[in-house]
Amino acid sequence: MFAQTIVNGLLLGGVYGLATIGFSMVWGVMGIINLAHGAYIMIGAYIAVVAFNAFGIDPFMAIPLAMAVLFVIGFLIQRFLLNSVLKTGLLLSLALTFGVNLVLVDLFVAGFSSDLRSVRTSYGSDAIEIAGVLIPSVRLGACVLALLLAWGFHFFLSRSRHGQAILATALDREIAQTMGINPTLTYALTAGAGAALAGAAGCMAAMLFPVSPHLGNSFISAVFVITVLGGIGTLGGAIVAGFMFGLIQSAASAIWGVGTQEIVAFVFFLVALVLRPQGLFGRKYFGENT
Amino acid sequence: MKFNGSKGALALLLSLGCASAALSQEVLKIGAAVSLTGPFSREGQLLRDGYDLWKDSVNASGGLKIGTKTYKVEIVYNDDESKAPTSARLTEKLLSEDKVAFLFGPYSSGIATATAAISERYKVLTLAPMATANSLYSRGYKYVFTPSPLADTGLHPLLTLATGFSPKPVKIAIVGPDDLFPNVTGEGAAKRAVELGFQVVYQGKYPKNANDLSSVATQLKAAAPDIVLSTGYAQDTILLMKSMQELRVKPKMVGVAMSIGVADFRTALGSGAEGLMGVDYWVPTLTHKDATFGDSAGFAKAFEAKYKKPPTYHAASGAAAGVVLGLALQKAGTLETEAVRKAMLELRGSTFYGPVKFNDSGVNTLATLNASQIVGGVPQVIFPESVRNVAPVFPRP
Amino acid sequence: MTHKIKRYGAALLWAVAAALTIAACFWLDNYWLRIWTSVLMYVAITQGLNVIVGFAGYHSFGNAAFFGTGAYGAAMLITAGWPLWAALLGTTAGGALLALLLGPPLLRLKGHYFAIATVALNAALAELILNVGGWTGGAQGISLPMSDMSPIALYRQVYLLMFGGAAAATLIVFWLSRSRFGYAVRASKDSEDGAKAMGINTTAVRVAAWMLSGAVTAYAGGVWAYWINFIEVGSAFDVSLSVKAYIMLLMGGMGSVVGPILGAAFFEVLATLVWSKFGALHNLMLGVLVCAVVLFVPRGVIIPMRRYFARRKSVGRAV
Repeated sequence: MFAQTIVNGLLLGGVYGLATIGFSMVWGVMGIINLAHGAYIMIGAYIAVVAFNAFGIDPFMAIPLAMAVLFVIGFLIQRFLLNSVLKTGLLLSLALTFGVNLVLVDLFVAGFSSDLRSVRTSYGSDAIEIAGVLIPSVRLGACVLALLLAWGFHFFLSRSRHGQAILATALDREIAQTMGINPTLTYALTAGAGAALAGAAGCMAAMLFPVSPHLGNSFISAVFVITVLGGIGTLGGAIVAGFMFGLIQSAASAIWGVGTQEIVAFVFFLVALVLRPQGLFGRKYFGENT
Repeated sequence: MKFNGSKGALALLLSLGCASAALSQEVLKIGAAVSLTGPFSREGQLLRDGYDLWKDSVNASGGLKIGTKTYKVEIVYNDDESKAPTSARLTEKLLSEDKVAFLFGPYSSGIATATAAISERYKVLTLAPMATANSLYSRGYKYVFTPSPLADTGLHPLLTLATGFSPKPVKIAIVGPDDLFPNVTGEGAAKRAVELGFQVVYQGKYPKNANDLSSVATQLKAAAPDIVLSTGYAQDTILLMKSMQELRVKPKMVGVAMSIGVADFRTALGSGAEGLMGVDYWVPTLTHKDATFGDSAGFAKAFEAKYKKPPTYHAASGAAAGVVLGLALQKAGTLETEAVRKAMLELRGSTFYGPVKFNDSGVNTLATLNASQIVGGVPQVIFPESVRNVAPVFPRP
Repeated sequence: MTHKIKRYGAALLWAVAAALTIAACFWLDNYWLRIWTSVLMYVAITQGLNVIVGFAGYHSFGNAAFFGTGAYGAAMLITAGWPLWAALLGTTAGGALLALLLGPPLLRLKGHYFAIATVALNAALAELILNVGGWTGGAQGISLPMSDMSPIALYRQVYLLMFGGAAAATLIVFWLSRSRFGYAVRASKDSEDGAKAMGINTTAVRVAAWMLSGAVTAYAGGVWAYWINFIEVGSAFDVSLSVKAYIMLLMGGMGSVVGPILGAAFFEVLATLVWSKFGALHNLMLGVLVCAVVLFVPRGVIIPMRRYFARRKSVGRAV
């Protein structure tokens, strides 16, 4: 059971990590805490659900579609709504994104009702067995894909021009501007990319959990914790912290009972925040950007 | 209509009189705050369908004759979003603004507890067919009644059935979300299981909104029970069963404390739902009779005609609540709350849902439970023997 | 001369407003009584937030933690048999105590980190109550004992209790805006080093501010528990309480005395009207409203208004 617990935690952690990258980068680059990030995950999940139930498209295949759609949504929301609050107060972005989240969730409640949807693939319950430990195929696939996407994003950030523009803007906005980088475009790109990754995570979530418009709300607290644990604005941090989070929850539920997994995670988070607010890989000045 | 002279005038007067009489027909306003959105929306909508069916049946036959007047029934619905404070607020509104005479209760004991606090203050009678946690009826509330059996006996039929299976199962695991109804049902089931000679090897609670139950499934696997009983709602039970499938947890019997007739189980689990057992407050094969629907088959037919789908016990309980209220109102001959309450306590009758006899706390002491199982992809009644379709299938295929 | 009239005029205005508010509870019907009680509750919460956000500059996004603590504290004490006044007093002290304990570690965090920490605190407290179970009610929640009073009498009592909380909170903010302690709090916000150079113990000052904030919010939570009679963690620790209060504070203007009152009244009445008209889509309308406030009046309505009137006056004099 011990080994199974570890495997459970790691597999889920991979998906959580993917879901977090976008949130973490947006916070690090622009200082915006996007509470609507959960809604992006939810939208990705619905895309998978509709694609599968209406068109028979496998959720893994729906990922590119979800990423494209969410990229556009994230880009537009950043460009036309969130860019306005960048220069104003620190916490206005929190309030604004809270409002955006309410709107998005309610739109889906209106469109899809709160009924639960699910994606039932033929291989949905298959599992690989290694030394008595069961590794469900879907979770393994999702975790591997999550890592691939994360690596791909890292590649994009460090090698491509746009990616480097994003990193530069994160480090110092003014200097980046003098280098000819357009911050407005950069921010919108970052937001779009973050939303796209959330959409991919959403597709995977659709294979693992029942989907309702409130799916995002149940992710967002985990996303918060993982972001801060890993270090705001660090991609590697998000992934590693994602695994850590999955492991902590899994271990807590095995040792103290399933009901304790939330509180253990929060206590851990609070302690980490007080002792080392920059997280595992973060730098101290991220998060204080205005 | 002829308009010649005095005959015409008389006819006109008469028709005007009839029209005004029809217009001034008394209206019985009943308020209902049910969950039309949120986690309980599926069950809330079914409940509302049941209330509505009763209302339509009664109005179609001319209304409810109470005392010397005939009343048309009107139900004012509000969506409580599956949240207790919203339901409380709505109940307040129904009582103070809409001035409803009676209340139909919500789905969920937790929500009903919040609204009962309000209705008790206003001394308005509530019929709460889908709120069955024992705690609600041991608080000394005088105006809350339920025709349904209470939560602590929720899993008893499955336990009784299990004693008859062979090879006799021994180890039982009871799991469910941390919420009022599941907790009460779980405790009651654990006690009964021990009384019947079973061994409770695992009893766990998971957070109500948990997304991932693989840790529960892992612990179940380690405990290796013969029987797994879930006290949860449709959503989390489906999630649990999926996790159990992934981790190859295969107990000989899996039962839930709710109806497996809800289509979600079959659509979400497919062939994995085969053999799943559930508990029902009502099944279509019951033979009790009543004046509004005839019997259960009659109710099922009327429901299907109106809603194009077979009814579950949620809807049946709603309609039954209406029937019970109607019986009490007619017995009392007035809408006055104390008289109706007295009538409820003295009521000895039968509805298609079952016989009723309320004790002072509003509990129906004659309520019983049934069980169904998904056999061949279709829900079939398996308990009690007198009303069952097929014999139960054990172990699970 | 005009100065004296202005000072006493303002006080008179406040007194009249207060008297009217108190008197209102005797002719409002149950439904509107409920709404205005809600407004008063939000006034208290928003003024509490005003202290820590507007004056101390610490954006506590999870102040609902105190509300929930207050609600559960009062519920447990009342269920244990304490009389209402004692339970409310106890739970108010509890709120202050929580701030005293958690202030020193958490108030070291800056900006975003503090905000996040308070949200995590809120969630952690809710989870703690769920897990402890037993006398906290766990997932079942707590049902307070039924009172014998008729609905209208009970609602009037609650209304007046809430009014007391709102009035006390407003007075605290007023006192902060005039007193030395208030200056110390604002000085700590504006310049950490400058304040220290002046001999101000910035940590102590901030913790004290959070204690005031926590006490007032806990009181509101306690009265709320008594009012709705059945509480559970989901609604007692609801983070949207904090967010709504934050929006009200934004609208009214941070650091002003009357701002939160206007913000709370406007927002809550609007939200109620929207809710009763739109039912199903009210979250959507709320979301749109929140976005509109943030985008168009982020500095609030009071401060621009004051400036506008000040400008008009000075223009008049020049002419």
